[in-house]
Amino acid sequence: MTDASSMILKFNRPQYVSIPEGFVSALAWQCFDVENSHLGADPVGRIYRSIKTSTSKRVRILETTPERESLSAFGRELALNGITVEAVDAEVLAQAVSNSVSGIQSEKGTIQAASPLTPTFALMQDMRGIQGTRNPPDLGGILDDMYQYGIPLGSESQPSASALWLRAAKQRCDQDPLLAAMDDAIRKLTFSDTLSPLDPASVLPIADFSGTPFVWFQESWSRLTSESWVSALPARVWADWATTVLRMSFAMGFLWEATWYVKLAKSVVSGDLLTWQESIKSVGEILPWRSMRSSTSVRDIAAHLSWTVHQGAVVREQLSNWDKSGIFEDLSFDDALAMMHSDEEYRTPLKQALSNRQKNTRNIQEAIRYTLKTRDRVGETADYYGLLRSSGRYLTVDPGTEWITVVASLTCRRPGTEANVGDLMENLQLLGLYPELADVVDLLERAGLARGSADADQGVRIQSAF
Amino acid sequence: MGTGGWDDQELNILIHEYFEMLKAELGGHPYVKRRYNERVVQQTGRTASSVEFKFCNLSAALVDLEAPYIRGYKPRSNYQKRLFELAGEYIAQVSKNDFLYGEIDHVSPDGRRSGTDESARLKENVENFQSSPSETYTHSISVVSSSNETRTQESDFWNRVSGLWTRATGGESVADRPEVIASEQSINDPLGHLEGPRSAGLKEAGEWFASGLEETEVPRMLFLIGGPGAGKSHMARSLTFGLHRIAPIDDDLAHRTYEYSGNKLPLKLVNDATIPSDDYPELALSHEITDSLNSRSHLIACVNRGMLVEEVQEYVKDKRADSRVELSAEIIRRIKDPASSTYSSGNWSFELKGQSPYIQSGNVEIDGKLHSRVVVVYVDVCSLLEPSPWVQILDDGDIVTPGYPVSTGNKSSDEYASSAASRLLSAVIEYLDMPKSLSTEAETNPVVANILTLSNAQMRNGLLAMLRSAEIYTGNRFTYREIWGAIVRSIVGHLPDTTLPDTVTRSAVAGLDGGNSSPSKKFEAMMIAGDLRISNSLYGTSCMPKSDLPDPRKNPVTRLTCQIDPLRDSVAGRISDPKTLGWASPVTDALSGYGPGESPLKALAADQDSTASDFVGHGITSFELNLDEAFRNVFEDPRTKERDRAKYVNWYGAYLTRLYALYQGIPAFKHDIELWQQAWKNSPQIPKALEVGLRTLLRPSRNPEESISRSLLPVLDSRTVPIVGSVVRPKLALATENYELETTSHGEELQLELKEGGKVVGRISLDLSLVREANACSLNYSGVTELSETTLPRLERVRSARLVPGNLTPDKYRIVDGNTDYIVKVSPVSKESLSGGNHD
Repeated sequence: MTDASSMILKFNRPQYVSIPEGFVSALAWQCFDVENSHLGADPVGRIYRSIKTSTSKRVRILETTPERESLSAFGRELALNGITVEAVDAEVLAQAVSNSVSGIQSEKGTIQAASPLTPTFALMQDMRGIQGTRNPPDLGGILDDMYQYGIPLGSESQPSASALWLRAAKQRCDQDPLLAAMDDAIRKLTFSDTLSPLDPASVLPIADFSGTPFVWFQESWSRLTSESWVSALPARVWADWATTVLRMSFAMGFLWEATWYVKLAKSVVSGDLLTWQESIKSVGEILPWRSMRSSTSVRDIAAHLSWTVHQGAVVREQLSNWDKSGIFEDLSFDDALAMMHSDEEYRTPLKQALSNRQKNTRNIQEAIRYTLKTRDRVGETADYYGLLRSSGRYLTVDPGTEWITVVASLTCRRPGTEANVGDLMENLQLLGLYPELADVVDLLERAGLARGSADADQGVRIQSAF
Repeated sequence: MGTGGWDDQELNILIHEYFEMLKAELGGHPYVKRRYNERVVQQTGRTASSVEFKFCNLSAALVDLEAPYIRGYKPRSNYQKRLFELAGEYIAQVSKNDFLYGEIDHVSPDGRRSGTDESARLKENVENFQSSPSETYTHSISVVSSSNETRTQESDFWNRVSGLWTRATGGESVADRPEVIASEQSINDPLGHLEGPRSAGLKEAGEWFASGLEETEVPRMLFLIGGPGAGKSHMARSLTFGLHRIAPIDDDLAHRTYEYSGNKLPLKLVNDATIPSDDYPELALSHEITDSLNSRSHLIACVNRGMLVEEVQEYVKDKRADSRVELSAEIIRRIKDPASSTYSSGNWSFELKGQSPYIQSGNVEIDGKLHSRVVVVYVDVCSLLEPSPWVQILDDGDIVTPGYPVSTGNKSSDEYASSAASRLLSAVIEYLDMPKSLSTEAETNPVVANILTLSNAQMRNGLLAMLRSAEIYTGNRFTYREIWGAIVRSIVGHLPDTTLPDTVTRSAVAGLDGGNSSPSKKFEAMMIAGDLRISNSLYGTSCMPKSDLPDPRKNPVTRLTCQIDPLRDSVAGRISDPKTLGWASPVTDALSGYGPGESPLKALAADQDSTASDFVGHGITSFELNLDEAFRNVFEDPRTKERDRAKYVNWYGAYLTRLYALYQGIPAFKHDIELWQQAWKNSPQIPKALEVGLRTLLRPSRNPEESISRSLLPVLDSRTVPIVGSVVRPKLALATENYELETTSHGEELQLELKEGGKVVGRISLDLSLVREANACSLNYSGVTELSETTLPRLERVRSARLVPGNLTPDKYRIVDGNTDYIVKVSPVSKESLSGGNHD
């Protein structure tokens, strides 16, 4: 029997993450701690490169990219770690390495991250440096929590999402001497002896959240961080895929949560009380994915996203307050629903929450929207991993070519294997997406992963991209 | 099934039924020709279309016998001599009087026949008929005058045309009730008798199965795999025709399975595996196969691949099935993923021999002894627009067949004619049998013009070439049902989308009102009619920039054909000039510099390119002549506004371009399509013309101007774009050496493989998008097409496969700075590190 307090998901509230590398970096900072006292009293935020001088008065922004004097030092460290180049200065080598690990800089971006290829490069930026705020949301903690929600009930304790990332990053270095040497060199240059590892605790399942984006996160992340997938993907591609999984899990996790609360409230108000499993299942589609042949206005999800997030937040606040006051203590989920339904004192506020028109959930709206949105569409900074695309005031589900590549390939479980569209559709349903079969087949064909046939149905085969 | 010349028994059956009809006709009684046709079909096993043809032969024989004939069966001479003899005998056997009057008149109490005015008239006609010289009558006695006959013929023709509506978006739902006899079905389906050729291997498999119905020991299993509209249920219907059905009872509903008593062994038919089974909620197909194995029944199973996948998934998730059901599930698994492999469980075993992508055979054995023979036909692998490969199923079940053929772009007439689609097209045109009297209407009637166009062999070949190009370009294949849809569209355009079949009269179709309309109105009327011409309706888009035509992407035919619309790629040049890849200049030249008194068609006829004059001489109809004149008139009319003039020129230019392209068989991106076909035929080799572009795309040289220049891949960039030319900021790169390119083919899929030192370091599907990108490259520099947004990520993926840890070679690292690159040495140093794990 699931207890009542499980209905309120214990995630911290998010903020928009301005650079995608921030997701992996946030997990990395779950695995390490750094001593900053030698840098002064102000809180320190790290960013690889700042395009514009930071004006934040609350945080001291530290640029971690090797430049000027530190470039030579970096070159020396690289040499000490076995990387040398003939006929040219060590500084050129250092510059080349530094440039090579630079993340994508969007057209309007003011900061640039280091691509989180190795443990240390993932630490080149943190949330404080990315957001420019003293106390940014604990993104790493949110991701670890979401992962934990996806662990099947009854499972034994297992590594957290951040621990899995660290294991994969270490494996990467073990397999690639160049990256291992670069990692050592940048660590010594940037952190010297101030960095210390944390011991990420193993995690246990929380409740039965089968059929949710958390399960998709848990399954996809476990696969991606496994030895076979790390070996099958180039370093940069793996980092991009990891970022995509984290982006999707983060945004769809919060969107699922919002939809969940709305469904709960409707259930209580209407009296259509369901069991825990039934309630979970009733969430269903969280982001409408209309046929690609429909017009843009039909496919627009901007309003849906906005209202779902808003109503979900209002309901959540109400439920959280009651939870804190202890009314759900010792109650099962079923009993709690029945209690709320039978008592006007609870039913009325929930009903009002569902019709609340004052939106004040900008942070979470932006967090979900911009995490899923394709950043730049063309050029060197083109983002092929986005799910949503904006067109004027419309926002539509229009996945980038590599988005479907990631999701479809991870459906294949192991690299070099096959799956079918039926498997992929099931996976998409975990994410709360219910596209038309023809649209999915079309995406797969454009990505070069599958061929349609006259009897496509669920039988179209998907070949893993790597 | 009867084939070859008709024997006496068959001819007598035919003659009897014919005269039954003739009796009814002469007596003024209504009758349905189909029913008589079907009776002949049932008794002789001949196809409906051959019976129709034979009736027409009989009409010709009756003409020669100076006897009346049925007006709906136009005499076709060149008939079998024996037919003439037997018809004469038949006529001699029956009393002419009885024959002609027996059904008509009342018999008065005194025994004399008291005819009605009608019968009196007929009697008089017959007497005149019998007494008149033979050369005086070539018409049916019931036709009073030639104009009446003409009108009737024309009316019959339009009825046949309206029958095309049933095929506009596909065929009948044959799967509904498989054993519905041909007669009953075709009462509602006027085209039901036009039995088209089947997918590759289907006919042979059907014959193999039919011959096995006499088996008493070894039952046969026939699996027909593919999507709807491919002919599976049609074949099942023909194989179960005439068998006694045991279950379920005939309730006019469609069922998943049917059971028949068969000739020697029982037969089970899984007609529609998408219908859930009442008996087996899980692993239904596996259980049905098991039932057949256990009861030694023949089995026919019509399944789409989606059902195979679902069945295998169920089996994999829950392997509680007993050993026999497990065997059946493994059979299904092997059918889904054909491979030469044997499966055995207990004393049962199954072997499927992977002969070809479209037909396989196998055996089920028990205790080493043959239990059942199996043939699997994948009905949608081979294109219906390619010559059907021959198939031979040997007595021991082995299959002999060539590989799946994909011919090159320039097919011979024989190659065209031997495709299933071509035979169907010819059958339809023959069936429509447009009366000559309608030919003049082609001036204003696009449907008539379309039929005339399709009577031209080169135009037919052009249509087939376009359809095949659409398949290759999109990587899809038309089902049999969609081929029907394409044929209908080429005849009646989009009319089935907008009008009811019974309104298809000449006036409804033409929609032109000559008389006193202004030149503009006349031309605009011609423009609307022109949208129905085959060269426009094929693509589903009008020549007019804004039209009310439905979105072509929503139609199963035009969603493919609109992508190879020649207007997308009307490259300047002439077919006769091998130096260019263009073709459209004759049309653009004919319309440019157009002045009063000139005619675009005349200009085309005078073009230096003989293909243009040939097109005018043989490829156009009176519709185009009329259109051309209307164009001249509107152009010369001083009332025509300038902007309208420009609109008319644009429209007419588009119209002529499409028609010219159809005549020449030139789709959009023809060169790319032909290169792909060459690549397919030459697999694993790649045509030189394509290889250069592919190398440029995959691994462009650092310096394209140099003949020897390495390719450098950025090691850690987010975008694996090879480094070309000078770099602004130094970066790490990997130098790649020479590599080989090869392809592998499976069905119509081509996979391109990059190999270094014999090891595959990357794979990418070699489809038309990639071919087009490759062809856009020039002088070792990459080009850009509108497909780049989708091809670039795929290219980057295959390039980055070189950077997978297992493929990295430490001695190939470089620093790239400006125009120079420097060798990087990586010598791992053994020490404790963060990565190495002092934090584990």
